[in-house]
Amino acid sequence: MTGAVAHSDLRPDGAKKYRRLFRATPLIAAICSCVLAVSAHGSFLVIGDDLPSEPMSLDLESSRYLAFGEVIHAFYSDRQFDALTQLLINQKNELFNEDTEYAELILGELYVNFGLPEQAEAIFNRLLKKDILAQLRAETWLHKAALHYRRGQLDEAASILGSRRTEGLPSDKNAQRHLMLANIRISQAEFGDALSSLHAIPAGTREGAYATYNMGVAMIRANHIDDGILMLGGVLNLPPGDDEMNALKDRAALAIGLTELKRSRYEPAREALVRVRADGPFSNEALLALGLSNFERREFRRALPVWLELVRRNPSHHSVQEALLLAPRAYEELGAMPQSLAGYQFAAQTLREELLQIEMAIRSIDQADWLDRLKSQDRQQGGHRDPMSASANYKADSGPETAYLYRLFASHDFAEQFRQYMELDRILDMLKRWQGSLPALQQTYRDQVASLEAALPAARNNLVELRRQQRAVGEGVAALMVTIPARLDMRQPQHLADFEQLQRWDLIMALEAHLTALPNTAAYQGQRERLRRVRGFQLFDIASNAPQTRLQQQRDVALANGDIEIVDIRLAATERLIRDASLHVRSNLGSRLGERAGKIDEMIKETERLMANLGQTLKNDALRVLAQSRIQLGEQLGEAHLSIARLQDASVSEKIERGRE
Amino acid sequence: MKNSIKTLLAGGLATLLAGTAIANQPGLSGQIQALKQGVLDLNRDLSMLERELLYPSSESAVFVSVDVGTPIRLVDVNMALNGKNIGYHFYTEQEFTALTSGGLHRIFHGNLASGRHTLDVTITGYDPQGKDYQKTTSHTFTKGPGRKMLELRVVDDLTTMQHRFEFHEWDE
Repeated sequence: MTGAVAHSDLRPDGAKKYRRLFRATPLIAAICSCVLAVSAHGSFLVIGDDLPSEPMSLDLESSRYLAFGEVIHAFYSDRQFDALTQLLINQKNELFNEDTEYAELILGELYVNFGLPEQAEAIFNRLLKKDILAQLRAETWLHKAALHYRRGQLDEAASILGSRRTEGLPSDKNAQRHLMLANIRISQAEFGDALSSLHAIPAGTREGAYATYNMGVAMIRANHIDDGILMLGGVLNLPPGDDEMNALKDRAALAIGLTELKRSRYEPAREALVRVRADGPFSNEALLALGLSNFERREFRRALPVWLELVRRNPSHHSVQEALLLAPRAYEELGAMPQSLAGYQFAAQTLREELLQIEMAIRSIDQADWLDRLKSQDRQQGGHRDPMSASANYKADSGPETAYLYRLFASHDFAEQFRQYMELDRILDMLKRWQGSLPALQQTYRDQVASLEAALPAARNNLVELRRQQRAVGEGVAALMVTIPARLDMRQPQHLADFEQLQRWDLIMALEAHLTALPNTAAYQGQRERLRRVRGFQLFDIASNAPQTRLQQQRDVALANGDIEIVDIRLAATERLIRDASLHVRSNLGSRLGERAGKIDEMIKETERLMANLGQTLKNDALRVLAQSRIQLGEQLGEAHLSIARLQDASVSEKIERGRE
Repeated sequence: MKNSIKTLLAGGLATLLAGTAIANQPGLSGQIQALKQGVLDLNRDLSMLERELLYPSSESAVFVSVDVGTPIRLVDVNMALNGKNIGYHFYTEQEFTALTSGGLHRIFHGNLASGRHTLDVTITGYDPQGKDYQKTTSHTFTKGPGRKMLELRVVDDLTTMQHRFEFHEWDE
């Protein structure tokens, strides 16, 4: 981004040569369009490189250029709260207003990101009422549709996205538009329309892959199983990509495998499941399902090694817990009763240990510092944390609940609530910083006022005297500049002598005056003659250097004039500083700072209260997940013990039977 | 056993295909929004008061910018004013991206005495081949009675595949 600087002396056709390359980011493109729109309304455009190297006037457009550049830097440096604050300050200072559409658009986007949709909507509505460029208008409509979508107003969002209002978007924004529209159609089970939107998303893109996955899943849920599997197959067959894309491919393969397994199509299920990466995030589920596909076909020998591999993994994963019971079940089917019994006993022991882990996790979450421990990752980042910057990923470096809550944290809603909790934590941090710095600011103001009150009277007097001196010297220099003759007049050689020549000339003049006063004797006559010769030499010396000396004199006077101008600037600056200082001393800044102290305290209390509420919700969700896991583990433990008892009974019965024989 | 496996399968599939229920808290959400708006206003006002306290109306600032989409990586900038260091900044990947997206980084903000000044700048960068280099330049300017803004633009010299400097000045 660069801003626009209006220059009344430039003609519109000159704008071309003042063009700077723009990176094709959507925001920049929009802003660029917007800035160009300003140009179309009559003011001319100077962008980037085109600025002249000599000092320019810091007019409104220049100030906007600099201020908006700073906002853009903060925006892309993950300091969005800083960017938002700067925009609001500039708005308050009347640098940006409703007519600076580029600032309005980014302000709207920042409001959305900060979770203030009403404020964003007001801006978007305002922009849409204005005469703005088509692309900017389309982007504004897209933002508005996204707001409806977030609020669950799907019909309103679809009506915007499906209309001509969002036509003319740049390609990446257009992909977003169709992804949103496809998701809406999917949720409304209108798969035909969803498919048309999907086709508009460029193939091979992340957006396209997610949309296809969502579509496939939705079709399966709506009982269009074959079509759904076909869609998921499209995702599965995408070329390998980054971690996120590979995880999506794994997810698609697993969804196909489970769907095929559910309708007892074991071979296609197996084909899909073996494509899930062994070290990917869904490998446990895939191994469990792969074993099931063999088990269902009564191929117990093929099911067993898969589940035995699984039971060696972390037992906190629910697939591993299932495998703990399924592996001995496969042994049982194969008639290997001792191995089966040992397997159930191992399962019982492992599940009991896991129950203990869950109990510890529940207690850990119940502790007051649980959320503080979650925050520790974020706080380790140090420095001033921008409330809107990305939080550190949840790792929960300590605590037995980590493994059980992984899935919870992976869910969008919990993650969103946690993000909001972290945002409030950073806001609290910022408010406490203000609370800490406010007394220092108030003290600074008091110190400034005291020192300024002491220094100002003398400074004012000195300034008057200095201004008088500067004027006097300035007048002298100005007079000198006018009076230095261009002609070299040797009748007044002292005016053409340099410093050394002048010293010698003065000495000669003094000696001449002295000899003139002495008697006219032969001895003095001789000396007079010698002085006359010396005088002649000196005149020759002065005359021969006169052009260079005059040039140097002119340069020196010009230099002095420059110095006088600098002194004039410095005096003007000092006058301004004294004026500022006088206003500063009389201002009510101290009381205005003081007024904010109460407000900060109120907001800290309110933030803490909201954090406590939100934190309790997070805790409740976590405890609910753990309670469900505890019930499930209890049931599995019961099943393991029943199986042990059953096998032991069978074994005892067999021994009794043998004894009888 | 058969039934339990079917249940397991159905559970696995349901988990994979379904999302988590949304915790609906309109009250809390509204309160958070109100707080955020209040915080924005307060932070804006405090920032303005702080600025009023610390900087006179004749404040000065130096900004750094680069060519949009430059293939040359700016690593750090070191600035000295009249021989005294006034700013050093190491640009992270994200900050550099922000610069190449058209951002202006305020590397110095403060009060400058009026009169003539000399700004010495040293930058380190990597050319597109990953080779590092350092460049130094000087710029003389005059600070008047009003605000003074300076922009150091680090531009591509595509013939040498290195940076060169451009200075732009604004006087109030």
